[in-house]
Amino acid sequence: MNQTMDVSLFYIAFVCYTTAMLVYFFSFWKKTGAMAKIGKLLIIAGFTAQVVGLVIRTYNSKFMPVTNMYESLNFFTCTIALAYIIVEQKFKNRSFGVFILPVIFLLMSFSSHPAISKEIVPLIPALQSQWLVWHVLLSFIGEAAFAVAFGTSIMYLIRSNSQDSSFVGRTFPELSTLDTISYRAIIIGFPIFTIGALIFGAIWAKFAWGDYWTWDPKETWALITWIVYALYLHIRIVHGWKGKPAAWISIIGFAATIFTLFGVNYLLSGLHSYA
Amino acid sequence: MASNDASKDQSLFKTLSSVQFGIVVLVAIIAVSIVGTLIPQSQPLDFYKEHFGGLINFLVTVFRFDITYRSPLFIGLLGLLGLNLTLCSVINFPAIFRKTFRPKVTPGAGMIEKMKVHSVVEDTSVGDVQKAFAKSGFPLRTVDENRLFGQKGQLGYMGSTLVHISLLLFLAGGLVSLITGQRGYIMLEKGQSSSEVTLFDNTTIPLGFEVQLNEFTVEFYENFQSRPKTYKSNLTVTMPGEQPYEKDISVNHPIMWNGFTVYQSSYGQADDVRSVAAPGDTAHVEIKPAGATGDIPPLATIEMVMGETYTIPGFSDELKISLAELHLDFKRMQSGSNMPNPAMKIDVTDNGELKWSVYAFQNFPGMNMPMSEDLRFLFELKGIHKGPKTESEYYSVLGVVKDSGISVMWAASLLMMVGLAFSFYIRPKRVWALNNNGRILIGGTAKGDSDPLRKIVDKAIKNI
Repeated sequence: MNQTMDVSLFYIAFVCYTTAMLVYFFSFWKKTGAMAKIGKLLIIAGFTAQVVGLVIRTYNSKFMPVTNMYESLNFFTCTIALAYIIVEQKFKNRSFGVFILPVIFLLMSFSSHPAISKEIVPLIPALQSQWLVWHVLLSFIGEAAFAVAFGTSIMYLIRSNSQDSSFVGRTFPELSTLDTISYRAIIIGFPIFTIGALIFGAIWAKFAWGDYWTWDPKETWALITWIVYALYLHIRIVHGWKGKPAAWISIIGFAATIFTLFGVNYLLSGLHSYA
Repeated sequence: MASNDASKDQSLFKTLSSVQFGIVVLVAIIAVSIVGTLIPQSQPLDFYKEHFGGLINFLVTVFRFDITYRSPLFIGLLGLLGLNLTLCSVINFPAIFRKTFRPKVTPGAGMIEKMKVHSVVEDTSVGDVQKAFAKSGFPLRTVDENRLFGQKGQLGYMGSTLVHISLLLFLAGGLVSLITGQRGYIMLEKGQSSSEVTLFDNTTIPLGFEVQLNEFTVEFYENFQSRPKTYKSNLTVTMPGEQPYEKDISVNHPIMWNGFTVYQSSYGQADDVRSVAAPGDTAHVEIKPAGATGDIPPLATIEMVMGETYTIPGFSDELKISLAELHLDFKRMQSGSNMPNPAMKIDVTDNGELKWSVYAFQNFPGMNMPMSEDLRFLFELKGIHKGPKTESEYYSVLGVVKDSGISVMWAASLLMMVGLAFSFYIRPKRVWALNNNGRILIGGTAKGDSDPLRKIVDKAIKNI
């Protein structure tokens, strides 16, 4: 019975996030503050449910919940939700929810799909490693930051194409704020992703398979993702390339992140395809 | 013209060391890498000819996209990246070094007023300002009687240099791995020993020592019979001139000997190649009336193992059947085919007397051999369930790697982590104070966001 409790909690979180997203859409459109407050409570409720679910799952499987697609997605969306809560708290603008919550929603729809196994399956020997745990945890934390930057970059592009007097112009945060949030999110996420995804991943690979890098599609795409964000950081140095070009690169970077996560598993194949 | 050439060289140099060039090279690396994930790698060249059209074939034969990440194109791009990193690090290093370790401590009033954070405080003294800042946790030292200076986190300015150098180390390490790395495997059955490694290009090299597999153990999970829980090899290692000793190697726990890293890579089952079933294997048998066609339901379904006798429900207890033979692959009938041909032989005894012996073939239901007119049953083999294996049927596959590039990679990783920490987590802040005819000018610079510094300065000023 205990095993399905965590799955139930994850479904509850999914419902909370979905409802929150719809509430945010509605409140943003109709400009009602009260509804947005409900939305925020729903996000916090969903986040709490997920955290409890993750703790239960950890207890039941006797391992961190990072070894298959289902639990990884729950950890990932949980981290994005936390990042979102922090951003909303700090910048006090609810339009973020309209752009970041759909990311959570889509990821959780995927994980809730019946085709994704929700069972706790014991680990094959290659996965029984502390390096694996840190590799996956840090990768997802970095990627959660990238998800935030993705949302704010989209907002940047929309805002920069809108008049100041338009609805968007009046409700969205300032362009410079959006740019700053994207940048700060990426400077937080980039080092964590570098260390977790690439360095710890290579160390784990060395212990499990004897080789720290084999250019398999997952590794290569993780590197591609890394290079895109490195480009983001450098493009800001080149004059005049801060605003829109940077926003585009942040969006491309997140697309690469998602491809690394899903595209590689389902469209290409290799050593990595158990996750 | 000489000066023209010189300025051409200079501008080439400038281009090669520029951020823009670096960006172009990185984009090219991304593009090539993506193609490498879309085209299957390391196949024989005929494979591409057979399976793909002109464009992919062209990419493979001309640009070697079959070995993308070892191709001249990719290595060339990495070389350009290395060049760009080297040039820009060398060119910028003096300025970065000075900025980090030799800050200007005597800026003029005009300079201070241009700083992002600046304030003016009247009716106070340099000494009081110094005390106030010390109290706020950002001590300023005395430069001269009119000036103060303090800084924190100046190492943060070195971050990008360290990251770039670490990248160069990664490239160097990759090159060393590419040139000197050797990768292969050793396959051992129980009791077997070897002192050679088979490399992936099918040549062998000596290990310089001997390993013998004493025991290979694999444990499966109780509720998940096909998922291995652990597997490990118990080896006896004999180094030249030394006493042999025992060592266990398991997944994620490799051992290093003589510069080789030996790790538990995988295992195989000896019965993958055998054709006769093992004693623990079970045949899933259906018994139908003789002459029955496919859709007629069976009279009985029995799981049979060799060495046991069974009765058929609904029939006399004196009628007994047993599984005389069980084959995973009965070679006689399908000589040309690669498909396994599972088969069984059933002995039917009546009152203790062997009356019939018939073969049934899983791929040919509805047929027993030999056909017997008085046998009222048709036996059909529906499947064979393999029983748990005994240890002697496994062979262990040990992976072997010798790679001098690995220590370079460790150094590069450490340096990259330090560089990232310096770049993103250490925030350089500098504060100057200048007594300008009775007014104290306070100025500060910070890397990145200057708000935290502003808060510190404001807080300190309040303390005056």
